[in-house]
Amino acid sequence: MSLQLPRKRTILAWHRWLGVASALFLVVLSITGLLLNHTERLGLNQITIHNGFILDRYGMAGGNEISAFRIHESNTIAHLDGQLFYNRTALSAGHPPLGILEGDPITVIATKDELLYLSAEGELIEKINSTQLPYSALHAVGISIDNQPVLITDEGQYTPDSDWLEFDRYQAAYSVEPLPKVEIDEATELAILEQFQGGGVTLYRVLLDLHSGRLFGWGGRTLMDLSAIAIILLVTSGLMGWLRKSRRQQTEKQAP
Amino acid sequence: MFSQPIASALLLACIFIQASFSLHAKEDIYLEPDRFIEQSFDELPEQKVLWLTKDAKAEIKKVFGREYPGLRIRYWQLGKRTAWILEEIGKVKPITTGFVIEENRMLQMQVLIYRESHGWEVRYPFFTDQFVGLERNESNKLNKKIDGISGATLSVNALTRLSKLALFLHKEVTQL
Repeated sequence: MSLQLPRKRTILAWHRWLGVASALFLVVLSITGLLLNHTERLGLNQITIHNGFILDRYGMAGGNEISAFRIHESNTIAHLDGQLFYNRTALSAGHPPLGILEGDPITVIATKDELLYLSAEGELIEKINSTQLPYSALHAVGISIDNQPVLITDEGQYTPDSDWLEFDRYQAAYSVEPLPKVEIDEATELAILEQFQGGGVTLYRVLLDLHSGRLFGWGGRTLMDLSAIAIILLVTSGLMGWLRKSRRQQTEKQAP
Repeated sequence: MFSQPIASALLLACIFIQASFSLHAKEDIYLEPDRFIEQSFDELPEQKVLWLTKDAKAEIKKVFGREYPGLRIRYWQLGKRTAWILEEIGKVKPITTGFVIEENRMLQMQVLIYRESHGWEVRYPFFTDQFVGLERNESNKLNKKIDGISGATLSVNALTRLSKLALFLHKEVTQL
């Protein structure tokens, strides 16, 4: 019993279309694969990329506006794309501040889901996240009549102890003052942006992510998966076409 | 003749790329830190903080292999037993881990929150049970070898380093 192969025209049509559709991705796969195989020789780890599009793909472009707030008289807390800065120094990842509560020895920066405790010199003392807080989302920071901080949250109001370790429910009156923004000079803005972007992305990382398709998220990865499947199908359809041709030649030879 | 398949392929590519976003590994909470503390003691323990002096920070750097962020670490204590909730980055995201220590011996290590996309096998008892009875000597060596897990090397290393740190911190607060 011989294997029934599809008609030659069908095989050829599939082979041609698949080849054309996947050509670009196969070229990308081949070139990036070749380069990655020679990472050390080409020094791909030493070359850094600062291109806006590439940095944006890695969430490092920092294209949004920097918002800054006054802290410790003459210092600033700045926020850029999920990163907080004390003056020009990166402090921690986090949401924009909703309140800044200065105290001794702890100054607290309250964000939507975290509390950052700082020393008077701006050093990070402790970072408290939502798993350690009695609430899930903070809306605003207020001040009670007796000048105690009040955290206004989804689950009600809370007031901390003097060490900011425990939080008690608070139901009395309080007032909320908006946190005013301040302007920062251009040099500080540039320094923050430079800190945010770090040394850029290495060419090795970009090529690796281009090779796997991850540079374009799950869509790119799926396209590269499809390209890999296309290679298998191209090999199969190529072999099928060749088998059909050689069988026909054999039949023609055997014919009287 | 080729225009239809090419157009289809390009359209498909555009749809995929347009719809693409960088994937965020989700946060898996295996045990709430509050519950871990409740389960680690017979009664409700006292919450305390250890302020890190310059010397302590230098010691921590030796034990932990790098600086531990912050100037204070909170812990819970009841008698000779202490519990610590510490964080260390596995590959890119922090792993929140709970430790219970008594008389410089580890009684329990438990992964509480895991945020990485790989290496979550470190949460299972076949791995965490290795940490029971763990002790750290003066030369920062553990009394047992922790067997790794293929594909979770960075998470295993992070948890091993955190264990050393927890044992060091326990000694610091119980010696006071």
